[in-house]
Amino acid sequence: MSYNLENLQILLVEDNLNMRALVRAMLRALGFETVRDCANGQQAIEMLQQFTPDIIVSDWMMEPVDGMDLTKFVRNSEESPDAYIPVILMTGHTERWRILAARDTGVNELLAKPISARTLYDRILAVIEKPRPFVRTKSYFGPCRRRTNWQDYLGPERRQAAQSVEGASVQAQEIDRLLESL
Amino acid sequence: MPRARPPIDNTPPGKPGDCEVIEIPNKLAAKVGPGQGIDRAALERAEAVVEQVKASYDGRLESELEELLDEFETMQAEGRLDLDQLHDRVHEIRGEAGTFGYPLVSEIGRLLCELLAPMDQVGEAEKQAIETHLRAIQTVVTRKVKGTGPDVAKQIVEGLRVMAEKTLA
Repeated sequence: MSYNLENLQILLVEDNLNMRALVRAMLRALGFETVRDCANGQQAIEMLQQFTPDIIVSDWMMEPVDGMDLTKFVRNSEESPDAYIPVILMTGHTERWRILAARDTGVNELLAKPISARTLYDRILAVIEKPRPFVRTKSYFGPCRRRTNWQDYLGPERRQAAQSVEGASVQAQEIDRLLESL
Repeated sequence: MPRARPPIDNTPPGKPGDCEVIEIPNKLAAKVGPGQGIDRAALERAEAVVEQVKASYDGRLESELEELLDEFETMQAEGRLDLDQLHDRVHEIRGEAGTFGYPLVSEIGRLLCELLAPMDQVGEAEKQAIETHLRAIQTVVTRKVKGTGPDVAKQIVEGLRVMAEKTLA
């Protein structure tokens, strides 16, 4: 038996029109009947004064209020309608410090771009099936950060030998040659 | 969004008892009713939607890339490379391109973002590396190389990776 997702309301926050249309269509196809959307965190905060979603799916990088600040609002503001709303943050970032920063802001799940119907569905099922207890410390309020799979989102950290202008030029030519045969 | 790493948080670690654990009732589970795991039919519907939307994406990617290249050209002509702006634009394109069936654009975009993120000054080598990455993205898009591309794509990505590493060292 599958879940009845019709009863869950989603707030989708994404400034990129292509991505917003796609994610909205995917959510509807997965069975969510109420998907309200907006273009940035500021608009989301305004919408949160009117209705309380069951799940927030938000992009990270947006102006003037990004997905991290939206999460901080939900978790910590007195005007938040519910500090425990699960937040799924979509991101293309792979740098370790950014991923850990998202975790430390109170994000429940990260959805790494490029996204697929399967990865979106997996994250939704995670907040339904595996909710984590919340934790309050002097410097943090949000879902328990002790989990093992944050590493899954981390990309490699690399540094090697220095590049000269001549070296860069030779490499650029070699790459151009390869591009010709693409 | 700033590309640079923020200052390290030196908040001292908490002591035992500083942490309150709050068990909350699972409201979502109560609303969705009994069930478990993936609904294959729903997933297939969502995947079909993705394929439909992908079909109309090619033209949009081309125009977004054109805007990016125009911006880069203008920045160069005016002698001011705004690395934050460039990083954010590339980041945006790489995020959606992968989702819409251009993982090669996404991969090259990722390499370019990694190149731009720690960069604080732009000399000739840096400029050349940025231009080469942009040229690679442009080629992939204009030739409509979808999926991971032919074998030569791997060599291109590897070449760009090495170039970025050496530029940043």
